[in-house]
Amino acid sequence: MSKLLTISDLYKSFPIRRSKLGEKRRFVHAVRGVSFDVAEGETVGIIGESGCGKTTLGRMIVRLLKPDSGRILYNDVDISQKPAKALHEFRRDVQIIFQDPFASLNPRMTVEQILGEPFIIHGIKRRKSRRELVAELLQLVNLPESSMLKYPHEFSGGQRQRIGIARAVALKPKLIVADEPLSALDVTIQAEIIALMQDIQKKFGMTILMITHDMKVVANMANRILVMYLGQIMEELPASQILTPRHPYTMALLEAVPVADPRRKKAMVPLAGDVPSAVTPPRGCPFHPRCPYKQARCETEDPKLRTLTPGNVVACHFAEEIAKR
Amino acid sequence: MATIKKSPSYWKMVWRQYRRNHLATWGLVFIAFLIVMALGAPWIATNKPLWCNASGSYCLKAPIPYTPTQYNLDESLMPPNRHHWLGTDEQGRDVAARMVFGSRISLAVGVVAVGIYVAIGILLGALAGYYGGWVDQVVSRAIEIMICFPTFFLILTLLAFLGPSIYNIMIIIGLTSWTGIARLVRGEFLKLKNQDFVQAAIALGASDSRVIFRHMLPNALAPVLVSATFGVAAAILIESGLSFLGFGVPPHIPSWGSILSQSQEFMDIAWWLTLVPGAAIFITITVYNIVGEGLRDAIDPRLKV
Ligand code: SF4
Repeated sequence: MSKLLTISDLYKSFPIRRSKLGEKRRFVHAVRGVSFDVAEGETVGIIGESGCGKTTLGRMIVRLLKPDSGRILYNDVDISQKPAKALHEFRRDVQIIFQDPFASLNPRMTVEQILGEPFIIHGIKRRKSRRELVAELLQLVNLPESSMLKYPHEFSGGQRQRIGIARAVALKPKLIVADEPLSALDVTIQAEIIALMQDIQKKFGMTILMITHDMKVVANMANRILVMYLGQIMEELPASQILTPRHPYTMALLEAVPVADPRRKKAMVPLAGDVPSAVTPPRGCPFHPRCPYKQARCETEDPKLRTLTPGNVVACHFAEEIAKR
Repeated sequence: MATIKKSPSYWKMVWRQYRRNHLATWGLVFIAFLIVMALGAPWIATNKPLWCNASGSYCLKAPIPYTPTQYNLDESLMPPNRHHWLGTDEQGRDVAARMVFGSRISLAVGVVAVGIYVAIGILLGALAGYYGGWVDQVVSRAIEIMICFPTFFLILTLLAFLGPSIYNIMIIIGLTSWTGIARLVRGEFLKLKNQDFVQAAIALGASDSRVIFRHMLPNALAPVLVSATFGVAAAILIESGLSFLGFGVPPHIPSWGSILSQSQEFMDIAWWLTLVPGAAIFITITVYNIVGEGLRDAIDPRLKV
């Protein structure tokens, strides 16, 4: 399978404002050495709690942020450090869907203006008028044509997210980064939006990178799942193995998923405590302050990602032993 | 394609909200009246008939049948009366005619000076807020330096060098008063830059100018408009102050400030000479401030949908 996207050793940190004069400049280490690749047509889920760096990762992939170091190969071309002007073609191929449908649409523009913009920016001239193109997009996301002359505030959250999706797919991109596109929506609407995204994916054959904190969403949509914690990848596993993860953190995430089965006991491995600060990430395994299987080695030695079974890559010193229990 | 009803735009909704405020709406009417008066001055105050019938037996006189410079020493310092509604000054010039022409100066100074500094402020604020980095550093330092000078005295000093003229006043106010707008726009742009819809436009590959002018500026314009309205009031006050001090327009050109200035000598015998321009300045500035406040309420974020 050809690789559409290859990410290697990506780093990004943000300076935080010094509160005192002369204080040492400190950084939030949002993404710390992330590597993975994505094949064409795949749906990859990136999951993690808030603050794990998944949003930063997504914004680097669409180059709304520039990585500090590392490479982002898109179709074998490194776009990680390209200046904005050199990204025009890339932007046509790689689009993003945002989390908050109330913030992602310009309140001063009509839907027609919002959805017409991709065509203007990329100078798309077809036989069809721009209005027809916009009408087609609205049809694609199941919104009435009369939506065209309305302003974003006249729509519900779910409808706005449809508009956001329509904008992202307007130019038939090859890769879409969906940054928590469902978390601001009601559960019933979430299902509609998932169905819509799958429908569009089938039609256009695009690759989706789904960033979320919701296990159920990735389990539903993704072929492959990456679990992130404190800026690093903890585990990579095929979606089919989502119920049998090897990494203690993934297990904990899974246990935290609320289940509709009242007979089921409370989580075996409660995810206690907060995510440690990304300003001073713990030494050794980033998960060790919360890990129930922690040993002395975990506090000093950083576990490397190891392939346990084909498709299942885990960063834990004791993955094998833990799995046996 | 079926015809579709267009939804009201943001500005239409602001207008709806604004109209609920009766005082502010009347303020706007008053400003419209001032504009008509300023633009129509040559037809409102003139000693030439506006229109005569063919035989010349009947002529339509202007509402104020005097020009602002027409003097008559026999009629000097007359209190308001049937012929001179607002009285005359020490040279027998009609105060009403001078006030009408004076409103042109106020309006011109207000509009041009504020226009200049709003343009400068938006440009610098937008550049600083959008690009950040060294551009922001340069603009922010420039703002800090400008703020250090007391504006009125800076204007006085510059006028002393350039000579008093209405154009110099406009340009100098314009070039010295942009800091407020620049800071406002910079702040708005810093906020807007991180908004998802701006990021979405960047991700689509929109050019800097498209992002700035299509996406950010329209969302930053409302507070600028409010500030500009207050700015017009301030500019009118500065012009009046300068003219009062004799740094403004040359004495033969009437401006509200210069009329007020000339009245000083006659304050105890000709009250109307002080009261009329003083009240005009006071009311006009108050009205601009009322309109500005009405506008500020109308664009209140609670309305932001
Ligand atoms: S390396 Fe140690 S601390 Fe980290 S997940 Fe594995 S057992 Fe837990």
